[in-house]
Amino acid sequence: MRNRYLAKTLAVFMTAAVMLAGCGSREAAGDGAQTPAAEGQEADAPSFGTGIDIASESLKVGFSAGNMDANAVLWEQGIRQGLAPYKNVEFNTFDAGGSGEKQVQQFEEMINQGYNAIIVNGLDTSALASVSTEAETAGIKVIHINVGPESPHTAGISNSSWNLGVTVANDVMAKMDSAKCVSIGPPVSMQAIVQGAAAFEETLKAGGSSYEFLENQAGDWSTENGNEIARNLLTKYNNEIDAIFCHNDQMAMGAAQAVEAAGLTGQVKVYGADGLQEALTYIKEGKMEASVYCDAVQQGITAAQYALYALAAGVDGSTFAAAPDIVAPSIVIDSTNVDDYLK
Amino acid sequence: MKQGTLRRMVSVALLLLFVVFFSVTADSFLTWRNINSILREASVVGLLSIGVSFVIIGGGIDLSTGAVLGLSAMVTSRFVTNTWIPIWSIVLAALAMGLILGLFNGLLVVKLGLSELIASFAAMYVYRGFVYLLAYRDAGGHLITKTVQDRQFLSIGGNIGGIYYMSVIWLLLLILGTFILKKTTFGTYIYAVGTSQKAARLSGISVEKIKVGTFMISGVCSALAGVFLLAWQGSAGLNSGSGMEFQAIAAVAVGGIVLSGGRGDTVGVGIGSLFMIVVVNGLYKFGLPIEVQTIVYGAVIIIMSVFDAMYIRIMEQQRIADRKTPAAGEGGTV
Repeated sequence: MRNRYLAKTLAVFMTAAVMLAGCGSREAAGDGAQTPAAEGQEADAPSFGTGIDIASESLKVGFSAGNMDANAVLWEQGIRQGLAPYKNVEFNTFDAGGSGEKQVQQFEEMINQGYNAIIVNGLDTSALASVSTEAETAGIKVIHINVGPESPHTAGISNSSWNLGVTVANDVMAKMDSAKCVSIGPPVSMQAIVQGAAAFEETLKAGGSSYEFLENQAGDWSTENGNEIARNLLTKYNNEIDAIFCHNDQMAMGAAQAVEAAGLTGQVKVYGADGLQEALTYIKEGKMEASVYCDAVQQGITAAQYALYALAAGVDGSTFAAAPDIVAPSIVIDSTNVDDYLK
Repeated sequence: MKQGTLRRMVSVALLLLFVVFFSVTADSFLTWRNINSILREASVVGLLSIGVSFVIIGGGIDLSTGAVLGLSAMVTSRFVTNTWIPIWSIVLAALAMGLILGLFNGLLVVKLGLSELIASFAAMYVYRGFVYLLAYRDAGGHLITKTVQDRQFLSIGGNIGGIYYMSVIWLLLLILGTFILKKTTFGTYIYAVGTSQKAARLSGISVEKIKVGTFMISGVCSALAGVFLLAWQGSAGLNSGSGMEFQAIAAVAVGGIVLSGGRGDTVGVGIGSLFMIVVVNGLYKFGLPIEVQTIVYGAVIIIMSVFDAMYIRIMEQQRIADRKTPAAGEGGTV
């Protein structure tokens, strides 16, 4: 059973890695994979190292979460599922609690303890560059989830915040011929990393003069805060807002409540992210337009399976011209398909 | 045996107890690499702790240390990345900035009459706001992160014979701090102000100058920690140093400095900083769930603080009892 699983894992990733190597690079915004490890290498001549027997050797895999929020819990769940067939793998989670310094500290700890693979959702990828390089040099497979690294890494499993903003903007433009839009983004301290609001703005601007981006306000992820900011924005623009993009569903639900209180439900389209069940109910009731969802559990499974593949095949940050970036799709859940996702 | 020495021995004994326990139970604890990691991590928090210990011994509190660290890291990053100014002068400028921010904090307290808690709490937000203002942005004005590439600057985060420069500087400053506190008039005045401001004032000590001085020391130490953190991690994040002010205060408490002021020294704070990092580092080795780590971290602070309070009470009772007991030869017949 385990061998069959292993064979399947290897087959899928050998194909995926070769096909995906080099895709998904977006240097400017710091959200996509970059290629420092690729310097001096032939793009079409991957250099595999020596693999290990992942079915029998004792292995340690760590997950470094920037913040143990709802998404991180799902990633962890997925990683556990991905590793479950391998009883020889010890798995531990490290929560940086929103502190970049603590995440670096925990990364070093995993290097010191001789982990074989580190799956990381980085808070500050610039700060992680040094330890990430150190880990790869020490033969540890570093796999980033969502936030693009600025250093050698074995792979990225991304559904970037940038993609989220682009997806929402595209949905707005597909549904409206013209629109005045605002966004409620992450806290200021996270805006350098979580860039959905920036992507939303840039995509709308690229969509032509019919689409106007009014402003972005920093939120704190909570429903109350989303409500408060949306109320202020509606007042400020005399209710002349057509779409509000919130960086998570909690804030979107708060914004939807503010829109409802202003009697504008249906006129102002509220977008959220994460596909929370409660938000899906809002969509079903017509209070929210859509929630953009990415299967975080599947991302975790993919990260775990790629880590095992990399260990077995001897793949690391220098194997391919560019580290493979496996892009997880964004799914727009709106009134047309909400029933498929409501439990 | 002196009261302070006995207290320090208890701290050292506890530290050793944990070190021995983790060494026996975890293979990767007593390795050269791990020891150096502990020393490096303790250095950054330790530098903040040295500064804040001066303020606390003087009877105050400084909550802005983490923000000063963050601002120092961001300003230094900006200068290193965007200018050709020599590295040594950039570092000096960062330290000068720390000094000025400390002066500002001190003036808020002595000139505007704000409490240390409120003044440093408000200043923390102001400095963090400046970090956001100075943060890197792309052409569209969106916040981004940037790695410092200058090798000369990054070498500050390097090591000599495997020991990081920041650890060496930290140890030297621990000694210097204790020297200032124990062997200089300024140090004596800090203890006096921390023990009783009224008595200090009646003795002719300028309480205001001492308070401003302690905040300036705290500012410089925080700025230095920011420079080292940047040189170590290569990037100044918007949240750099956030929450570290509380780690520093925790290290101070564990290190035997009474939060009401007038007691302790920087060597104790050094032990406290090491103790906190050793406990966290050791807990990682067990792969304990996050919630257990957090609980243990908080419990250690509570236990050490309770221990301190009990210890001080016992010592006070002992001293009173000693005073009441007539020394040999003093007793006489009526």
